[in-house]
Amino acid sequence: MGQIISVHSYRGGTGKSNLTANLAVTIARTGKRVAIVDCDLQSPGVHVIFQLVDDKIRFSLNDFLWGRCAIEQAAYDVTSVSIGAVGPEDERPRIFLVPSSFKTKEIGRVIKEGYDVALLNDGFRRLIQKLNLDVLLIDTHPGVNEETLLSITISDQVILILRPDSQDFQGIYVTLELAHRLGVSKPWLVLNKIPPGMDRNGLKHKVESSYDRSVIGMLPLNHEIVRLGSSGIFVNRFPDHPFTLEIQHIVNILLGKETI
Amino acid sequence: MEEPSKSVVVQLLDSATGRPLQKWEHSQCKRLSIGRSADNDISISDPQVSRLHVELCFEEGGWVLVSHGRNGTWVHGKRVERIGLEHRKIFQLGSNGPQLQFFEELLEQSLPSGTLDNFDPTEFDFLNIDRQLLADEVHRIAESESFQRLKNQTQRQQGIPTPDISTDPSIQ
Repeated sequence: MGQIISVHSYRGGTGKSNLTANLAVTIARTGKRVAIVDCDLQSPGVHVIFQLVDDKIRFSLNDFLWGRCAIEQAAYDVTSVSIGAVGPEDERPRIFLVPSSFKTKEIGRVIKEGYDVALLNDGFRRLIQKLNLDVLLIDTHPGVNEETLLSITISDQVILILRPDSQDFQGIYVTLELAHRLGVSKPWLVLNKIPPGMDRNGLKHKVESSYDRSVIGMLPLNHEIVRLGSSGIFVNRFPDHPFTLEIQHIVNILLGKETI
Repeated sequence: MEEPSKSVVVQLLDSATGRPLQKWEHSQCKRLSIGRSADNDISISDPQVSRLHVELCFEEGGWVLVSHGRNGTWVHGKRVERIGLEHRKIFQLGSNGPQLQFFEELLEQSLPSGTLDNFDPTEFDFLNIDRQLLADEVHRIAESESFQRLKNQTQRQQGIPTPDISTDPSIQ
């Protein structure tokens, strides 16, 4: 049975979608079948990183939620663009992406009407089964709304990504408290956008002692990733970069190959 | 430490970038006044700054900031009346007024390198969490109907009969 890993942040702009995409590719490269579901229905973004353009998309997560399709019909194989040539019969590695609609009308409907979040749970389970997934990654909507909390409760592992700034710090505290009340055990923390020269050990100690949670990744503020924008997979483009090596370390912990 | 530091430096920071704009160095002193009047040890001409806005005093082995300013003195967004001053502490005169940073010992040894003007790489006080304030936020969300529904649903799935959820030791 595949495991569900959700990636969450309290505010936007933390680099959540980029982290999710780079984790997915790195996990898949270990010979896994991976899917990402873009649950950030109000501000979708992962599709851009995987260059999934509008005319390739027949169904999106929105269509599944409105009952227009089965969830697997909204899953697109993005292996060739993110991993490279894999034999058409090869089952592994594979990456699939379930995008959210980036049509204004669809986004507007989500904001206006909401949707039945319970459907998501069924959708995730079905997707794991239908696509024979090893790992399902959920890119959640920032904040602590209902679908976010649901994603957290049904995940096997939860990653909270934050920047070393005051607002992210307060927000993650709220998220951790709520997660604890929902019985979610020990979310992992990943620090992103650490400015050059900041005392990494001091920062790690500060975070871990503030929250009593483990920091499994310390990602540098990364000018190359800013330049790359959302137009590609960083770990592919810069295989020896400290950012890439840290992603590898996070993946090893997620897959149980390394302990903290 | 019984004697005051050899030297105390106060820097005026650019509020947008955190870069130092001006510095004042005082040696072998036990009291420094900061305000708008020209007779202060450090005189800052700004409408947010009172004639005598703060005093920095060396007391019982450490430096203390005492605020007198009408617009208050602020540290990490909180108004302070009297607060211990550690090396590199940043305080603000008035909620929108000038920002100052306090250094003990010699400036050459104390200042962060050129690329790090807008934060201190060894101090993480700015990441302190106001647990009391956030408890209200947590409570507000936790009392909402959707949260309670989710909680009940989760408890059913996990087979936990009591409403008190403790951390499940099986998920480590």
